Amino acid sequence: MTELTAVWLTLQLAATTTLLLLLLGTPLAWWLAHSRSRARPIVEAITSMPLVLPPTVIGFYLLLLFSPNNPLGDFWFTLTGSTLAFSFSGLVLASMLYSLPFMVQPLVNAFAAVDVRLREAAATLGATPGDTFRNLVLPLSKRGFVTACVLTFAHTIGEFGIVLMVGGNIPGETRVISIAIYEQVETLNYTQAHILSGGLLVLAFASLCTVYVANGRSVLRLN
Amino acid sequence: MLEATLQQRLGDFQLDVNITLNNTGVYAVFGPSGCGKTTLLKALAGLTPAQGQIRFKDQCWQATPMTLPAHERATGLVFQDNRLFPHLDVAGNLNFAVARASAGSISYEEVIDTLSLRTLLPRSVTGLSGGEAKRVAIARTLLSQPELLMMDEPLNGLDQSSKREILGYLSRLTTHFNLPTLYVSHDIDEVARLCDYMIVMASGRVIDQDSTVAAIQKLDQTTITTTGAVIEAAISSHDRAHSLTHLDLAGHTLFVPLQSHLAVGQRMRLFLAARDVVIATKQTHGLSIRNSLPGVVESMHAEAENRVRVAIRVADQLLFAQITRHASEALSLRIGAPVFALIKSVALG
Repeated sequence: MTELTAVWLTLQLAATTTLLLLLLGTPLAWWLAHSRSRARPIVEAITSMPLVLPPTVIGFYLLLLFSPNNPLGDFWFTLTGSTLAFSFSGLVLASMLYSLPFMVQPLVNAFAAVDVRLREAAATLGATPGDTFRNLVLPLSKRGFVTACVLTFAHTIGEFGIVLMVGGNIPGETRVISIAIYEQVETLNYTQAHILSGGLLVLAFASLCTVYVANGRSVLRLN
Repeated sequence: MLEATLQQRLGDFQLDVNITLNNTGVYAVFGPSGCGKTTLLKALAGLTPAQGQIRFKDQCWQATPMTLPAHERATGLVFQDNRLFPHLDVAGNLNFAVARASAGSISYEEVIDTLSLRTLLPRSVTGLSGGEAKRVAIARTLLSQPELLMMDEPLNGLDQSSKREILGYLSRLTTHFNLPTLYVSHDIDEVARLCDYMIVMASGRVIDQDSTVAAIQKLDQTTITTTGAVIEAAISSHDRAHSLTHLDLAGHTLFVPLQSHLAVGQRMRLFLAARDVVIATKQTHGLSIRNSLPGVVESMHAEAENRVRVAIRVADQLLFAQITRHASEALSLRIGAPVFALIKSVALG
């Protein structure tokens, strides 16, 4: 069934995006939480842009960026022999940008909550900064990481506009669940639309429950 | 052993110190709040940037602009607020230090026993009492095998009974582990009890560095909360029946509460607050005060408008008594007059 392909593709996209954003977002969040640079508020603003911009705007600019007439698109084309637009790789890139604040903000909050005095204590006990990060900061920010990953994963699954703009509707390549639902509804195939929509509904609820349970009684804040 | 010349400017505050530690033993860093004691400790530990030089044994920790990061300095710092890691239990906190320690002579078992931590090991650090948390923090620092131990007001914020308890542990472990130690405090009782030497600070500068006995005599007595003197005496016997220890002070006996952890012949330092010393011009009888030491008035200083601080030399030691000017006139006290110092009570922390 083609809808199963869409589900599988969506999960792959969300998992890849979450993993890559985890690698990229952790150092960025650390920098945002601790830098005294004057560029910090600007970088913070750029990171949060996807929260306020319509996905179509991001999608539009990404399409231009992906074009082989553009240095990035050209570089990708020379490297792989295909374009970023309307490809799985392009979708991953677009999702990473779109879900960036959902990874970074919870991590910034978590890192800022780790008392600098504890890091000082670790240093006097002989822990290098890397050691302190792995063995003190990471365990103390565990909830922040759970929140960040679940939100990024769920948000990537739920994206629609940006996928439509840069990915289109290619089965097995860019046709994710949200696109499949749109197509089913357009063709008045409500039974299929119900199955997919209900599935997403349950998934979204389960993800958010995970986040709230992980955060105990505290209220989820993105900003 | 340790030589440091450090300057640091923090807004209006200017730290400008030069200290030298030549011996193992406990050095009090003494002075009023805000005089830069904690800043000095943090600069030595590498936690706060400062200009200047620090040499420890044959290592250079700092020679501006070069500075060795905190984790590469062989210092151990017991913070005022303990800073135990909340995601680890007591054993986990101790192991954090053990896992990163270089080879050293401090044994895990000894630290656990000296600080009575065995039953606390599986406990969560969030449920510890103030005194327990302090013991864990001290143990964690010792287990990092420091070559220079620093403690920032370890008795601050503890209730009286925890204070007494920790003070007991501290006096045991400073003699047991014999590390050069910097002990920040603004409490003269504590300093007199624990510290061999004093580094006296005031508004960012070191104003005196000497043995505790000598430094306290030189102290401007108005700057400290409790006026008094430190004396040193040897233990002559224990009177367990009356729960007293007898000290020998140049042939005179001084009675203090039982110090069973000290052996006969050992010397101990104690702080005699000036308000606890009464002056008599004749040998008195029929008093409940047991401690009466003959001496000579060495000096007299008017303190507040109606009070006089009298320094009394007993053998080679100096005591202070705080009396009213009225009493001083009635007794016709003058320098060189023979008197008896009656000691109401002896502060032992």
